[in-house]
Amino acid sequence: MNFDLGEREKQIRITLHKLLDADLRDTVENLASNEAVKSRMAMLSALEKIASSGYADLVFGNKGTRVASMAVREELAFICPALYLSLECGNALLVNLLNRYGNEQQKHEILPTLKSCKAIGSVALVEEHGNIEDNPFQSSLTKDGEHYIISGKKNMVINASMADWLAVVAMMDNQPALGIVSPHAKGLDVSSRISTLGLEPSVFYEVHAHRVQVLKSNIMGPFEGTPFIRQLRMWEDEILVGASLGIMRRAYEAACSFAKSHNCGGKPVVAYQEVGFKLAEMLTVLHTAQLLGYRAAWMLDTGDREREILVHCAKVFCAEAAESIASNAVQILGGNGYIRGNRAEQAYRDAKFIQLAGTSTERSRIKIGNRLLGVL
Amino acid sequence: MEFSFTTEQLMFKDQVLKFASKEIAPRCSEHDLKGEFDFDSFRKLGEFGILGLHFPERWGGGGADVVTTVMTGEALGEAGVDGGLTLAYGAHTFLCADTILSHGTEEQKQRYLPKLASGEWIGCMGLTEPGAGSDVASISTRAERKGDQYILNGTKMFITNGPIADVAVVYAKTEKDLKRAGISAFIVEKGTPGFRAGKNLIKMGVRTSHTSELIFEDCKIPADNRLGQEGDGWIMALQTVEWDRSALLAPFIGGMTYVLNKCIRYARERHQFGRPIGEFQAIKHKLAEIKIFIEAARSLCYRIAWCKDQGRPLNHLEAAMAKLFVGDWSLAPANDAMMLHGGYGYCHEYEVERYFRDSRLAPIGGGTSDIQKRIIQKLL
Repeated sequence: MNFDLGEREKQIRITLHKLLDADLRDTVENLASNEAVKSRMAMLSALEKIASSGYADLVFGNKGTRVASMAVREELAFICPALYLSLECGNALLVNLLNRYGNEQQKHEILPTLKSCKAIGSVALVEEHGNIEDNPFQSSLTKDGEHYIISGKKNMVINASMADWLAVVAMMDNQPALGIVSPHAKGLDVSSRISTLGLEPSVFYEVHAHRVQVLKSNIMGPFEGTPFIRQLRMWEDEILVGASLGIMRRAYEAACSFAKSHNCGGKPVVAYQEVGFKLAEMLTVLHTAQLLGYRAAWMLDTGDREREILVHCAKVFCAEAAESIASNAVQILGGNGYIRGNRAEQAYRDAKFIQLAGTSTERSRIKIGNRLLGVL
Repeated sequence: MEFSFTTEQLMFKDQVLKFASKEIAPRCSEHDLKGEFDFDSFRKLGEFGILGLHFPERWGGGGADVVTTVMTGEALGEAGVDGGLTLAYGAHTFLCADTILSHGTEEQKQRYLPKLASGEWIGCMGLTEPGAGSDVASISTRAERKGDQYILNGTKMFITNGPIADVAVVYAKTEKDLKRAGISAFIVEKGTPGFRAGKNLIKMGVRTSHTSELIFEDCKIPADNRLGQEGDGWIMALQTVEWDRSALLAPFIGGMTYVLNKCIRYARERHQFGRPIGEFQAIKHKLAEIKIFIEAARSLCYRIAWCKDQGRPLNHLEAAMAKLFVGDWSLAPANDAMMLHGGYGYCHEYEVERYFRDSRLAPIGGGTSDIQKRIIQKLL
């Protein structure tokens, strides 16, 4: 047992700030650009800084523990939630897929650039119905001579327009498989940026594949459906726990800072119990969420049979804590909190995504209940 | 950062779980119904080595680390031991005996610790007063030095084990005009002239623990019964907080696991509309809420225990947050457990109502939730 963060992850957290804080506003503005080239360059520039902090080695390079990864993930999500999700749901998810299921050629050609953050990854998973566990994918991956053909429509695809590699999940012989293509492949339409409630600048796109050709060497799978989807969701949920920790810290720190600097009746508002006690509750939930999130990450490394249920517990608690803390933060900021652009209102909007993404909080609860009842 | 327990710790927890499930838990329901303290079970805790688990062996203890001690509390709750008995154990071991262990002289340790470790004697701590609860520094019980004696006058309130204790650690003002710096601690034995306990207070929950006033009327005790130096009392009382926020909270968390297991069994066995109620999503959600609370709360307590094992000074912020979370956030899942059982949950036989009543103390005892928020607010 040891409740202290390691020196390495502490150092990476500090370095991330040093590298990203100074020109973060420019990075975000450029990422938001409607010019694909401009947003891609901004993303690659940010990724280069993130990689040089040691983040990529730790998180993608298997050169540290999952709990250490969670600690640096939290920090990046604290600095910029949208950038974090772009990196993690794009590169990290694709790195995980290639590590686990990729062939030697894919590992040789695609994996190194993704791991070193010199390329941008994207995974097209969700479809119109949203629920990928109970509804089979409509997208198809069929053999066509020496090649394969992907057809279908994907929603909420992170990084699609700026990615170097886009992995599309589709059904092959009634089982899920992946085809890796370029976003510029013939027949592939990537929409303009989807306008979203939060997580600005939005990195979500729609992708339509009209008989897109995929090289045989760029196919992964097919896989047995349930374990594959379960594993994919587990990776996503781990990433989303990290996002929620960063988002709730942004909201808490914005509220705490405001409460200490904003005076009312001749004293800072933090001195009033109606504000100070609210902050006390927020900080308590924040610490509890951190410990639960870190413990879930730690348990993933142990291989303990309880790991899946603990990740679901962490996902529910952290996702809902993020929204609740952000809501209280807006309340503490009062009218200032309602004006667009402050961290509290951003966090309030960002947090909603975490509850419905990956395994939604409702489904997570059902899964926890099922596991407790012995229903697989 | 890593969260593993040692093999020895896990094995000991398992032993405690088996022992308490077989020897203690089956007796709890009856004693709770009658509102009686279970002396036999308390002595069994002593025989098993739980009452003095963290004491050095020469004082009759087991020499265990703090994490193991906290795990033991969790195991007692998990075995189904009621909150009254675990509270009595907590007040005895951590609030009374540990203060003697940490601050007593060799003679004091020799006289009290072996008897407290075995359960031959029962201990309590007298700090709260009718007019001084959270505002501890304003206690009015006086201890006046007269030669080689102190004369105690005053009344203590809500004292767990008060009516049944053989020995009490009592906090009193030796300098009435000073606040914290005027507080000193004393050992007072049952039967000392001028010292008596009030009648057992009838409580909503933790009914098997007996709670009363301690009344001091010109109670003369030898000066040798003072713990530490005059004015050390505030620090001693603060040091019990570490135990209060870890070992005393752990049985609540373990108890929630016991309740969860009962809920799982009930959800499987109870049929409505032609199927087990566990198949309904609302029931699964309730089970999930209970499980999430347990997993969220555990690390808060073990963090404090681990820090104490590392010899670190108490982090008041972390301690207050642990107390606040376990206290306030346990109420909803305790209610969920009762609601899941429907009408049966409201009946004594199913035990979840006992846990519901017992857990209601968590946000009150040892510093209310509002006081924890006040501490956190000051440390922001």
